[in-house]
Amino acid sequence: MLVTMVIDDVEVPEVPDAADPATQLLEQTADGGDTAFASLYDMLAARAFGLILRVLVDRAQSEEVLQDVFLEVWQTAAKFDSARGGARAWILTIAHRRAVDRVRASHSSTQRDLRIGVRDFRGETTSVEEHAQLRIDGGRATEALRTLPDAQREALVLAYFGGFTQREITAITGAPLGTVKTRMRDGLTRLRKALEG
Amino acid sequence: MHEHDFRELSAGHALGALSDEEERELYAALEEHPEWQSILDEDLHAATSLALTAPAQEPPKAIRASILGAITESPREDAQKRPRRLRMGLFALAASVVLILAIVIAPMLFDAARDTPPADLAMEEITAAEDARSATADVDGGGSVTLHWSISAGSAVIETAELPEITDDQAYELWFVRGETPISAGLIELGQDSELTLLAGEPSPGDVVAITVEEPGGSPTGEPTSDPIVAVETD
Repeated sequence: MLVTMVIDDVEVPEVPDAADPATQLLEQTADGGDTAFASLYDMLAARAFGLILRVLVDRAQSEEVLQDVFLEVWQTAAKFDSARGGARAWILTIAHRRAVDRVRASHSSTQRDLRIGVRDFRGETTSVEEHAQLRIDGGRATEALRTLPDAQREALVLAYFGGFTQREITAITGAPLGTVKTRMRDGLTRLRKALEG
Repeated sequence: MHEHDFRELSAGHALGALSDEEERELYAALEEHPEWQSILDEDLHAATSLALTAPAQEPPKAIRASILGAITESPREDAQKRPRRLRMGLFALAASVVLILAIVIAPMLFDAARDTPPADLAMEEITAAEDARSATADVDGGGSVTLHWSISAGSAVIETAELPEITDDQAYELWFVRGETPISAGLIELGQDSELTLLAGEPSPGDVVAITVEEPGGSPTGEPTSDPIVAVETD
């Protein structure tokens, strides 16, 4: 049972949430702990569901994807490597991947273009409750996102929340492929640096 | 590949914006440069921050009950024992040796008045869906299987009438191979009325559906214990 992290001579990037309680629960889940798994669900389901909803919008599909995500978490918990990051990041990565797979399978490109038109993709909130919630949980991340140049933020948000590929983003924005790739690369780097403070 | 190109792929991957071909390039580059894993991990971590800008939302309580119920009958995977490259090699080899792709839209008709088994019900849902697909692959040892699936219906069903006979201390187990990870999709019961078997779980785009021969009740490790006798690509 993995309780301590192995740190060898290779430099491991700093991962602030590697020691969080979710990580311990996930490791216990890998050992067969269904109680730990239930606690892990209680801790992270709302966070995962919020992300899935943001990508999919459709509530029924989002509920299905949420179930698939946690089923995958249960089935593959033994593959989690805490040296590479915390449990929350691992689970949200699974949630994001499945949400994007689903949105691409479920929507024709015409429908997804329309989705872009009616939704605000600049990371701004529309309700007071959402705004308050964000300040509690994701305030730093939201603020960091705001510091990006518009073109970089747009590329990140279209990709991450819109589920669009780089090629689709060139069609949406009119920018050449090389430019889109650079915006994503530089935008992600800038986001990371803004969060490091 | 230069590190600069890898960094671009890495950002695209973390944001979920790469094409399938670019994903393959990324993983090929990682095989050659395992030290670049840290670049990828940093980008995945930064992408998680984006996830945090979406407000958390409480899911319905029924989902919690459903998931906790589902895990009691769900097989789990052990941590990887074999090197990743070797396992991917086994599946890729099996798929390339036995695979014949036939993409056909195959509507089927059912008598709705009859008492229909779950696999047949799922088949009706699949054929009614806009994204219904089928694919056929040859089985090692003769015969073929046909997979029917719909991502939007969330179901996959396989026709297995031609599978070779096996002994009483063997069972056919189905797998969704997602990337390199085989996820059990249940067992095939031979000799039942319906020739269709409903796979447990929802198909994901790009899954390879494989069948292996295991002990009765399925592989005790939660992973295939032998090479697949057939692999069906859903791409």
